[in-house]
Amino acid sequence: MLDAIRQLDDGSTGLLGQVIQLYFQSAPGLLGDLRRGFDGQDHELLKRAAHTLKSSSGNVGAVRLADLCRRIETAARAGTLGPDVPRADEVDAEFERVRAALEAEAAK
Amino acid sequence: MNLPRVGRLLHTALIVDDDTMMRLLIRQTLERSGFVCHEAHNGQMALEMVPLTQPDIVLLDVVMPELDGYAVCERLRRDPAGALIPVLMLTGLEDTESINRAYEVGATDFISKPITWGVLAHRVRYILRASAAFRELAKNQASLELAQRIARLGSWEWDLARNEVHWSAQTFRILGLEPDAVTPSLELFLERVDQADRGPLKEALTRLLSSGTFDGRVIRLRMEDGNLRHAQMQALCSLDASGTVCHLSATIQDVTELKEAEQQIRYLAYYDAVTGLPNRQFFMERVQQVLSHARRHNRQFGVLSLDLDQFKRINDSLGHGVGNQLLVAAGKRIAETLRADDTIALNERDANPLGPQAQETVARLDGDEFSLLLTELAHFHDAAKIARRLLEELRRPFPIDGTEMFITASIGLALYPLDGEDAESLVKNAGAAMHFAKEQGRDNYQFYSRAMNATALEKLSMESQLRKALEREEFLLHYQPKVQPSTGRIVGLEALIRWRHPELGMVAPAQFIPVAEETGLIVPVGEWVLREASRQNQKWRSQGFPPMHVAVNIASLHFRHGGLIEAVARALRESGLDPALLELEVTESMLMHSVDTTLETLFSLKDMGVRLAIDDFGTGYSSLSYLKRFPLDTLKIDRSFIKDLPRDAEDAAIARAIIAMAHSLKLAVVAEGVEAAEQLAFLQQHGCDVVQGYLFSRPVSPEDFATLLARPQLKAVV
Repeated sequence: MLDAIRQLDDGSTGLLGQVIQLYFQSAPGLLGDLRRGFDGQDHELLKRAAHTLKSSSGNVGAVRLADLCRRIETAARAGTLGPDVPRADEVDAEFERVRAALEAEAAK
Repeated sequence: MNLPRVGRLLHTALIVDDDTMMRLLIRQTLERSGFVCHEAHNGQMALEMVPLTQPDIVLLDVVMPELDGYAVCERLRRDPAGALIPVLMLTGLEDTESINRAYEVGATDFISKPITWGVLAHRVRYILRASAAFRELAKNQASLELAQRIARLGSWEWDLARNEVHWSAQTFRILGLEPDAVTPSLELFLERVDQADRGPLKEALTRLLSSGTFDGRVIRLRMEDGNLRHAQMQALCSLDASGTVCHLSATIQDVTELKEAEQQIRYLAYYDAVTGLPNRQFFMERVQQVLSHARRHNRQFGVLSLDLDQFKRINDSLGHGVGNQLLVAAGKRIAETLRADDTIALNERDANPLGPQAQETVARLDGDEFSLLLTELAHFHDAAKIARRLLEELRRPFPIDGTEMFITASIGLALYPLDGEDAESLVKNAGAAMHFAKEQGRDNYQFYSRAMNATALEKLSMESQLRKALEREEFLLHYQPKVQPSTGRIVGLEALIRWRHPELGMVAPAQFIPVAEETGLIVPVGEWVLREASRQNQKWRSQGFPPMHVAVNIASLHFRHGGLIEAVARALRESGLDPALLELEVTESMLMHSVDTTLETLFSLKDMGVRLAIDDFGTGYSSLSYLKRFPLDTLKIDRSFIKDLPRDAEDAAIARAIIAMAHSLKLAVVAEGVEAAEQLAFLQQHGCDVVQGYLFSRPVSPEDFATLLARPQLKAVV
């Protein structure tokens, strides 16, 4: 996925760096929203935060994180947060792994 | 044809997403492919930017706070500025529901996230190409429609297999129907076609289906408001693989204005621009038509040529403006005079097989020359009568420009078949006769044929001779006795006028009475008869003969407006005759003419003491109720009922009934025209009071009548 973005980058704009930077800017807020959503059982907040994080994670190639978000979004839309739905801790842990990978990528 | 491309070379995209990263990536992708990109952060902003940026495509995220993508798309489609812009919606991959929804709100296509960036630009390009093709199609359709609209050309299709009819917008327009209000069908189309053209059109369509050929035609369409429009119609049909007709295509083109132009051209070609009357061309064609009709049906007709006298002088001294006004006024008066003529107008309307146009019988040939077509003439005198009337009418002043203008005309008449066998010679000869009328000093009419002129002249001289006859006392009275059948005594006499002309000898009343009536001379003649009959009767009375009443026939004209009462009073005063010995004979039709004034006249006469008789009874209205109202003394049975008595059972019954009826009204009954003994016997048997006829005596001179009076009793001369 990141390769696709890198192909879009014609070298002058530093697109990849911009994308990663945008990701790092928006992700912590969204993770916070997710946690507050779980704590307060706020399905609406969960749905929106999961959707946005899913979308941006997909764009940076964080496939597993995007999948976690998709499952949360689907459950929140249905209004049933069952035991198989990933929780905030699991999402945070995955994000840390993505961050490490992206930082490494950005440094290339 | 290569039209210059209007507008920008680069395509413009509007990216609508609340996610900055998405906008960034999409922009990056599209800019690399040569797009100019605009971004909107939310739905509201997108709606505001569409009219400003006029994008070639909108990429629209579904999930956005407040106004989501569906709402934006929906609103965009309702706005004319955004209705046709392709919208590519960005949806979740597995979310079929949102994909369906995207199409429902009018999205052109969707692309699911996560977006495969390498593909996005191709998708967008594809959508743009498809949209351009759509737009081109719509544009072609619109320009076709515009072309059809300009040409007033409508098309319609009939799918026979499905029995479906499709009309183009222009077809609806031509038919005057609203596309939303009706369902196109062959029946509806035919309903619009004027009744006269419907049958033939149906036949033509049937022929088209069977033979494959259609006779192009102009059909008339009857609009809702009753107006007629003309439409040129063409049709052809297509065959399916098996060779049967499956499809019919037709065009109709509104050619109403063309038709009107044609009529205008026709008008210019056939009518005179100054007077609006038919011109020479039209007139000659009309003469031709009437001529062939007259040939087939053995009719006579006349061509009248009328030229305004000294019109050139008016034109030269007062100018063409005044001259033209006078021409228009004269043309109008000529047409009105012709229309007012009962015989002509009636014949024109009822008997002329050439339709309403046939009434157009007044034409302006050129300059100040008019021509009239006189059809269905019963007698050439009718033509002379019209000519006289025209001369009279044209002598009346014309109010032009605030003053009164006076003009006379000269008229020439040519009659078919006497004066010409073809249109040209009739018109030429009428013109020649008109010139002859000019030579005769203008303000008169002349027939082309000299023999006609002679007869007309005879009539004219008859008139002047009649006037002289009064002065020269050439009239005289003969008397026919009225006899009481039972006694054979003379109880009365009828005065009958005779004219002894110094050169012609005795002139028959049938020859001069009609002329006297036509010219009004009948009034002074009638006055003379009243005076003379009264004088003669009083003379016999003074000679010692027994009293008898003398009957005088009163002319219709005299009775209605001729000062009859004064004339009777004068006759009685001058003669000294007992009014009871004067009897006035009037006819039924005279009484019926105007009942109120008639009653007044009759009662005035009755007050003077004269006797009143109704003449020729049984030939007119024979209304008993009317008879009761009039102060009558005597009823004369018309000779037609007497003639075949007593053999004719019907006449016998009528005579008997009249006698009985008259007696019930206390009227004396006189039978005239009694010539045979059987008639006398029958009348006597049924109580007829008085008889008159050759059986006793023909009308005789006063001298001979005195001889009859000397006899004690008048015997039948059988």
